[in-house]
Amino acid sequence: MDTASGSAAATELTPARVEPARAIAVPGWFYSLALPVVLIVAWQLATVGKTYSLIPPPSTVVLTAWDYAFGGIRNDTYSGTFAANAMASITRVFAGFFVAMVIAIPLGLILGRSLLARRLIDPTLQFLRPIPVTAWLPLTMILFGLGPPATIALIALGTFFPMLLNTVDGVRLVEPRLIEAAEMLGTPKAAIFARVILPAASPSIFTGIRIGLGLAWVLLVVGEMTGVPTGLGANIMDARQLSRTDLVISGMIYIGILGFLSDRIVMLIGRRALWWNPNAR
Amino acid sequence: MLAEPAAAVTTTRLDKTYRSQRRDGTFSETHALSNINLTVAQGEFICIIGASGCGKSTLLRIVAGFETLSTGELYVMGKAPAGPGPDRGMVFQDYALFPWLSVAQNIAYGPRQAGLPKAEVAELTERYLDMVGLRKFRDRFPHELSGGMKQRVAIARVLANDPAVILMDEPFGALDAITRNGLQESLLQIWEKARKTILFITHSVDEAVYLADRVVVLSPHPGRLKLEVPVTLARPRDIASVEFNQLKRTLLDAIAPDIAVEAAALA
Repeated sequence: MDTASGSAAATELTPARVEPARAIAVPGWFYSLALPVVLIVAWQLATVGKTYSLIPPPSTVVLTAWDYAFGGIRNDTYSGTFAANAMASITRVFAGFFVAMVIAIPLGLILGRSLLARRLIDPTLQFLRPIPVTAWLPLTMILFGLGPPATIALIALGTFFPMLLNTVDGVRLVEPRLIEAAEMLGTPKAAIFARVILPAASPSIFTGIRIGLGLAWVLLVVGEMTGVPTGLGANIMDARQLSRTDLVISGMIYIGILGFLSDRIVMLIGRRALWWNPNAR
Repeated sequence: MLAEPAAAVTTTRLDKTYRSQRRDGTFSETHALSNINLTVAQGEFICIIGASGCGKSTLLRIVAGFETLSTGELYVMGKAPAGPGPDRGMVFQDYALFPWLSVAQNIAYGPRQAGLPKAEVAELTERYLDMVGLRKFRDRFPHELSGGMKQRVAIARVLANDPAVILMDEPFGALDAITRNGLQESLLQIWEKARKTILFITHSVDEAVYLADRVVVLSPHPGRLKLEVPVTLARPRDIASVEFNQLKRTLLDAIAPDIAVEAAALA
């Protein structure tokens, strides 16, 4: 009968509706961890027990990293010195970054709005911009001497341009329609900047800040390689001269973690401040 | 005798010429609008149609104060406006909502600029949220809304300023047919309730005949006023009626030569 054939058809259709992928529930982080785990296992297998290996096995690196942070294993000059060195590095990163930000963002806002300012300043900036930051290194050493100020100056120089350019672009690319809308809704001319241009440009300004901070960590290592006694970059360079490859790799990992954490913090701040922007999510 | 109330919008011999400098330093001129004489009564719903390049957007932007006229006169409620202002609300085709403000904050924006007390701003916001049917979406942000909802916010935002004239530049042009019909109905309801003067640009003859008290046809190069057709059909209008289609025929005939010229130019 009709009902029988109908139910038969229904049972036949049922299996096709089950999505096989749903059967195995694998959390997303499992996939994220797979590649690092494979690489570390391969590294361990390739290096363990080989006396003349240039690269120490990850197990040695882990011990060194622990000792660098907390001491108690190797008891050498680097044992337990991570916190002090990290503080020195973090201070330099943020000092250079803030100096650059405090100049770049206001200057970018002015350049974005004023044709006269652009004509006066932009050609000079465009000439300076293609000079690689590392090429500034000798000059900053001559000007600021060997030591932390040269590192801070280098970070400030390198992070200045991405923050400046993103601010200028953010301001210049504000939808003219939004300004017209604000005008026709009765916004006083003097208030257009604060009420429309600044919020509209803020996602781009924020992108500049993120790029700048990422670059700051790159430049930290370059800056600290030039005879600065403390800091993670300095430790890496000293460890290389002492053939302490385990310490070199430990320092690299720590710099990576700090860079990652600082980017996360900026992202969190950005998400809170720019919650309205779908592209910031 | 009482003085005759001022027309909402009057243009007298309005002319607009764009001048742009060529590379060799000489100037080229584009005559966008020529001798536009238009009087819009208070509370009147005017639709402006015409082939592309007829200057209909330019005319609206001049009334809005975004652009200046070259010669002639423009009066809004008897006064010559200087620049854009909240007495002439503009509804753009691409909405131009402030993406960093919620629906309610977008609507409250104008009253806030006017420096109204907080309680009054809140009251206006609620009233116009209700009028456009977006109470439930008050805390959403523009990127979370559909095109039709965004345009409702844009209309409410303008209404909250209690403008003398609402200028609408192809406001429903980017919307699908069903959403557009819904918004047309809403706009007519709002217009009947608020009795605002509306200048509405469209490229749809159907839309013009459906909405307007009077349809104004512009023809291009330079933009001139070609024809004015009063629409006296009772609302709601039956788009399938003979009278409706006769008016459409009249308007289509008026536009046809301009569209033919455009087609020939493109061919």
